[in-house]
Amino acid sequence: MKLIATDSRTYRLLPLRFMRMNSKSERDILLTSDTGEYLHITDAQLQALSHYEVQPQTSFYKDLLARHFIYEPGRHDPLPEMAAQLRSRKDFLFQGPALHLFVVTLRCNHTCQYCQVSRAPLGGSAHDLSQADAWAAVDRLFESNASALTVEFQGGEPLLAFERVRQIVEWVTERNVTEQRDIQFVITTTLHHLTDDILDFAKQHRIQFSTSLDGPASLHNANRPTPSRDSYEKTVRGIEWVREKLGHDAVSALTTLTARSLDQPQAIIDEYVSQGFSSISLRPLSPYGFASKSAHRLDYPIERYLEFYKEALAYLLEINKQGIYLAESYASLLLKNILTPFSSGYVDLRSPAGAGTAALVYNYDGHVYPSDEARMLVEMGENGLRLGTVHQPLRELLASPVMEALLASGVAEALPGCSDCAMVPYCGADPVEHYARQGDPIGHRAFSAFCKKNLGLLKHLFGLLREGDDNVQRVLLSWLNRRSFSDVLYPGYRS
Amino acid sequence: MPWPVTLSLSNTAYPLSVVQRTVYGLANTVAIQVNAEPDHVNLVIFPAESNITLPEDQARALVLRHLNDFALRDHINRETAGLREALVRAALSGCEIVQ
Repeated sequence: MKLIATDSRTYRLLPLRFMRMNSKSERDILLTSDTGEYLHITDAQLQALSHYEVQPQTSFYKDLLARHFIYEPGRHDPLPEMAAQLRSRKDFLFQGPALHLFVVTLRCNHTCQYCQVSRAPLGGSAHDLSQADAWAAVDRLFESNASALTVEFQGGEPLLAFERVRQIVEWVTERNVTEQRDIQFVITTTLHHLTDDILDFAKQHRIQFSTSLDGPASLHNANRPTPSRDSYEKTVRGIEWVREKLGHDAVSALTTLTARSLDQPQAIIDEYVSQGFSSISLRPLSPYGFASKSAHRLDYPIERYLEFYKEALAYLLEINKQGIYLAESYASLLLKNILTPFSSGYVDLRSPAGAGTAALVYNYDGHVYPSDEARMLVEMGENGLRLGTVHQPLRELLASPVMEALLASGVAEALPGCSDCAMVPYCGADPVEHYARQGDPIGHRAFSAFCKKNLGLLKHLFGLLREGDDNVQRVLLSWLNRRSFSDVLYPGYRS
Repeated sequence: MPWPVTLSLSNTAYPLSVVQRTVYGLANTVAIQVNAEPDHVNLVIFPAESNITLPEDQARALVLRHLNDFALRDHINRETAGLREALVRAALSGCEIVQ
């Protein structure tokens, strides 16, 4: 007869989740707590833990206790500490929307087949945000209680409606004399329509520019056709011009990956190095706007994207080891979720979902949407995700039936599939994407591209954190802390 | 062992909720028909798509591994019942998502 020494149950379990990582390691099981602590353990350790057979004098027991997988009744109440940790991870829930996107026009000079935004012809103003709607949207912005606000101008090409941009910036700045918020302005633009006047204004108001750079000229121009076939050249000239007038860090770039991009990860990264960027965002194509109609030519299975991402990340790690600082943005966000007690705050990686709770979109026609993706669906003929108009108070917009539906399907910890997933403390819920791809805001995780992407990337990062050599770990930590590789010490003690 | 693969399970060891979670989690690999009887559950397992090249014995092992993992999760959830809710209540007191 086997006597179980811990029959008196010196410990009790705390809420935990586990996942098999399908690695070659004996400690293949990832154990995570609701507060984001984690341990790699063996199958035997999982069984022992679950059935109260872990011996108190072992280091495993001490690890479990320290990381809040178990507690000792009567000796220590872990709840206050854990509650503080969870509160830090979910601190974004204690403030209103902080990201406010103004779609000042749908007009654009590009005819990108994959366009996520949908465009209108260059001439006319039928697709521009009116002055009255812009004024009301500024009222909505200040109804949010967020102490730090980001005001982002989107399009189309927002510089084609720069006078409206100028007006909104001036109104916000004037109102902020009394509001005293920390406000950041960003213009998302191709940079093709820059002028000295625009740059002078941007300098005066510390406006940041976010542009798109898809890789070398051949790839960028193929992705982004213009009548003059020189999109790349104009964007690069714009980058140089912004840097010359506003400083090197006043412009950042995002990459859109079409099917043709996936064969050239090194060329894309080399382009970012040669343009002197410190971050690159390797994001997959979204199922919105025109992108969905052209999906058969431009889209790709998420498994193909993951292969590309891993190859690109390996190359990025190599060049960073050589002293070139170029961080992959999404990896940096996931690392923050894994390695720190705080949330990255990134809208797509929030649970409850960030749509509406973190971001609001004021569309050119005066309607308000909970995310950029939700308004893109409108251009595909789907307007069910509209919160209301800019003339309704924020409280009313956030209490709309759409928000209720998004929140009901946007708590990852309560969703089928996610509720059992060990990665849920580091992941998010994206009901808008599931609605776009599966016609259901909850969606089925076994068929979810969002789930496959995040699970694939998180597993890969956990693998690198565990099995990568010292220098790989130093690069990842340099991205997390935004410090140069040489400033990050080797892990552990060294004589 | 040709397709479909069949499994007969004790519903004491594998409650219906455990079976349902397994069926859900493996839906992109295998399609599982569930027949619940008074004291046991019968599973009839098919490949989810005709182009899936999963051998039958591996399919059986895969389903069993998931059943056992979900049964363990069920055990852990019962042992920690109420704690997750207490933690969320304590952590998020004062939170008002809709202002």
